[in-house]
Amino acid sequence: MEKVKRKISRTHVIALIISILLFFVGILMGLQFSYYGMSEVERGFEELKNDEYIMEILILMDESDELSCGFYEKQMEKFNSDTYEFAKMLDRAENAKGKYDPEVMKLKSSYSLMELRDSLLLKQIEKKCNISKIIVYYFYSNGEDYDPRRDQGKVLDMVKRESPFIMIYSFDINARSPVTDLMRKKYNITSVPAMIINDKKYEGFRNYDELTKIIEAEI
Amino acid sequence: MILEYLLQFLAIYLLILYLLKFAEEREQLIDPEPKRFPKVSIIVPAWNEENTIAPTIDSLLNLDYPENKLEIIVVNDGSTDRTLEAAKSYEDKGVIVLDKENGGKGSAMNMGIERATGELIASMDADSFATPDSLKNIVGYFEDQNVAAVSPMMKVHKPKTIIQKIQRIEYMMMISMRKVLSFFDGIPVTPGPLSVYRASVFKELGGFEEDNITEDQEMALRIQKAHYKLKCAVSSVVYTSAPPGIRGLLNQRVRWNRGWLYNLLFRKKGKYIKLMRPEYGDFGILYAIAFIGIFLSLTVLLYSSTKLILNWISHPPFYYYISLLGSDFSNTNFSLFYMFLNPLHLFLITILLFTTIFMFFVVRTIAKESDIIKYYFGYLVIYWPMMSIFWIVTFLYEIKDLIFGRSYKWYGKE
Repeated sequence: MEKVKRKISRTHVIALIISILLFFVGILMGLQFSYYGMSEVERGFEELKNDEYIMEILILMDESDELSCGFYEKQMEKFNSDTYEFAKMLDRAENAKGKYDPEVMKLKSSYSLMELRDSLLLKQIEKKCNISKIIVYYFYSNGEDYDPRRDQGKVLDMVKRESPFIMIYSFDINARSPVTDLMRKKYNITSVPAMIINDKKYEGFRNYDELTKIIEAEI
Repeated sequence: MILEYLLQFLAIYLLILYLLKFAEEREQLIDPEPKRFPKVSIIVPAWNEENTIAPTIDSLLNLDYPENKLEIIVVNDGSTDRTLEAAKSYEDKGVIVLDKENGGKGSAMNMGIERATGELIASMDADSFATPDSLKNIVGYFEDQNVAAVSPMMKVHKPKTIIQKIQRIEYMMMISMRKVLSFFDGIPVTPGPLSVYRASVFKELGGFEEDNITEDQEMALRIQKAHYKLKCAVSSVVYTSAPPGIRGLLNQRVRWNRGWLYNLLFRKKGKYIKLMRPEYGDFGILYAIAFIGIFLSLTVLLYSSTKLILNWISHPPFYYYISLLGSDFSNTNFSLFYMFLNPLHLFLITILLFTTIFMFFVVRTIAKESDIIKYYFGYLVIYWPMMSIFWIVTFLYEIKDLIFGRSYKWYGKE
């Protein structure tokens, strides 16, 4: 037998060059997609904000109550539904980019402010039109202490599907938002998950049956 | 995160390397025609194979090879079933049957090697079946005086269960990669079913290690260390039995994994980690990349598994299912492009793309099977998580050995 003369093929060099190029193209594309993804989320938020401003202006300018309460009610329900869906989009962006991504945190803070304004707008419409909605402020944590066994959000989803007159405004206590901090202080929220349902505080997880009973008592 | 990026870079690099080499050396896919037919001694070590030994011997007797140049030696390794009787029934057909106390495959092979008179010596697992021209298609490689051993194309014999069908895909991937590795002189193992060695290899380098649970891998590494060539004959087809269930597959793969680690890091007679040097050319580099890749994969796997297990202890998985049941998927605005917010996902897609190309062109060309795409999805979804779990089990054995002392054995029926 004869020994083989070992060599290192130049194929390694070509493969390395192609891999490095692919890698950098991938990184750049990933960053571009990331930027595009966040732009979409921000665009969605701008649209929501504009809808909210329009509602606010309509209410302020409608001194002679020309627009019917039915119209306001429908608009608020739609707006709340859109806002709730946007929250899920924001959660997904947060999962993809990380909890402490500066862009996500900034957006969450602005979102909390929009939610609070929305709930105040709703209260104005309630007074104006003598209608009654069940307003739920939902405080949760998306941090290290997140417990899927106590995901109140999922239970709220189920209840809202059956009772569309429930208006849910969610606040992530990890989002470092001055609005969320204000709300926590106002309602003295000491632990999460917590809900303020028509100004009544409920701290601790409530399952579907318990939550349905609470909602029925408010109707 | 950095480890994951590094891992994905290695995976992309290896796949591109293989595809480039395949394109470069396509004419080597044709196995050389034999100019002569040297005498071949085929050794069949057998332990409790009463159900398969007869068809194995039948397949060897049916080989399209000059009868006077073929010697079949069955070594019964202390079987407790009727393997010996089944083998002895072939003595009138010229099959030599040797009997010994149980000592493992390595010792059975060595007994056969001592008895063998061929210029070439083949090993044959007692649960494998050679096709008639499998031997003829291998011997042509030995015209090259650098070649010390040649392995055939192994395929799964009559896959019935899902586990066997997935292994069928895996074997085709392995053979295709081994063929491309042979272009680099980089084959790291000569598996049991009909691997053929030059007899002088055993005279020069010694017989199989008898206390090694992957003695075929160790022999291949020994050959590489001695700077001889290992080749792969893709037109030489041998069918082998694959474990039908998870338990058998687990036993087999844990043995393979442990054997690999042993040969690399713990072998008393010399650790093969020393082969990861430029003096071993392409083989040294590829061996190093494989080691780094497996080490990185295991680090990421162990880290993720530990995190998952700790999470499960505090948040039992049952509650994940309950919360999932509560989800309203019809309401979610799921949009695929949000997945791409992470470049890692992009690389995963790239790797899948290259693997698919590899499957289609390389595997189809080398393994000559066209229905592989049917089970490709199952292979991706089931195989890789399963192999990860097998590596975790491997590590548990290694930890056990660290505490209680080293012990290597066959872990049960495979």
